[in-house]
Amino acid sequence: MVDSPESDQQLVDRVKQGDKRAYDVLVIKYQHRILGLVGGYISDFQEVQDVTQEAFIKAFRALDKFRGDSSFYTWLYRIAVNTAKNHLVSKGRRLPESDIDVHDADFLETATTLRVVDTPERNLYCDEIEQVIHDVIQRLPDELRTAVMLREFDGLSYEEIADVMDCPVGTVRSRIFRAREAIDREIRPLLGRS
Amino acid sequence: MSEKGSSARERLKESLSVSLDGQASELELRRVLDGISTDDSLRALAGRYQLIGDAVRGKSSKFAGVDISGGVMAAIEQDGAAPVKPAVTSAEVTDHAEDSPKGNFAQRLWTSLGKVAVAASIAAAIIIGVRTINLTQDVPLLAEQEPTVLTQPVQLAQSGLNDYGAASILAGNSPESRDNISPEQLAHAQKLANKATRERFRAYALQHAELSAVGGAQSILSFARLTSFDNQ
Repeated sequence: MVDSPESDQQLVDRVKQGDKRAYDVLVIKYQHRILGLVGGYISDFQEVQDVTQEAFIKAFRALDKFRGDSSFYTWLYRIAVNTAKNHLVSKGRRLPESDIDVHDADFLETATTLRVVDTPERNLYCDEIEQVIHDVIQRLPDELRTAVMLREFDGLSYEEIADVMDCPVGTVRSRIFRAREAIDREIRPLLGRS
Repeated sequence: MSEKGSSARERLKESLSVSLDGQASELELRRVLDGISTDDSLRALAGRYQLIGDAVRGKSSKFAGVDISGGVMAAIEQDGAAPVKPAVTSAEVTDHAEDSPKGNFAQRLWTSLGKVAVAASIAAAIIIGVRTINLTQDVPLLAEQEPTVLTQPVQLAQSGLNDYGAASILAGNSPESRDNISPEQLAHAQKLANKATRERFRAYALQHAELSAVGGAQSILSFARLTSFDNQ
């Protein structure tokens, strides 16, 4: 799910109206990316989870300050970085010399020294899931593969995909859903053993 | 599960897929949120859909399978926090550079300078205001006036001057009376006029002191207007 400013606006608006369930969806969407980001600052797995949780709670409390000028993820990213730095200071540890850029945040796990997460077994497990996903995508019918790639990789809206594929928006949403379902059927057993 | 139930379930899953892309209608989103809050399998599916998206974009996480959402939502529920009135201030999510002692000293210094600047501005505004009011009316302050010399006949105001005995004297009120005034009478009238002026000034000063006690610095302007209007 692409983190364009408008993609989360519906959910953010609902949270601002008092619907906490919408925030649950936002947490589900971004928890792994924020965990990875915080993991760039903190090496202890349990602390990474605690700090990530704290960052999400802080973001929830401050959500009325989110104006939608940037994407929700970019805003959340800043809160998570500051929460991680606060944690390091409170523990008397050194802050990193440079901040992690929002665009690099998703790729920094390889550079970190997460003691618990970064184990060979864990890496193998994650690589396996990723490989299965890519294999299934390659086996998808053309129209499903194109629809899901245009959405997830290129970040196009449903209307734009409908223009590109010359089909109704309803067909686009159906194709993207069917593609996700096909992939999910393959990865569900793998995730069940994590 | 019946065919009808299965179909409804598929529609709900499709709505979830659309909602995660931010393309759902209000009604559709509400149905998904209802489903997620009561159906754990739907929540798990949302997580897997997200995982698929991350993998397609080459942003796979080493935290696949880790779920902290339950803990976050439990903490939020327990906290009773609402996003409308945030407990977190922007200062709490700012960089550490702003928390350093150097930053605090600079902040305090600027705050102090700001207060001094505001106080100086108010004082300057009051002084300029008083001077402007008097200058525009081209009338000197009562205290700056030269002692009155009666080169011309003077009429003493009736009100409040009866105590001085000469209040009823109209010195030089008419050409005839002017001719009849002796130098002694003129000197006496001059003396009375000066005394009356001093008494009026004291009365104004007293009134001003009373207004200052009640209204603070603002009453200075009231006094300035009072003297000026009185002189008009």
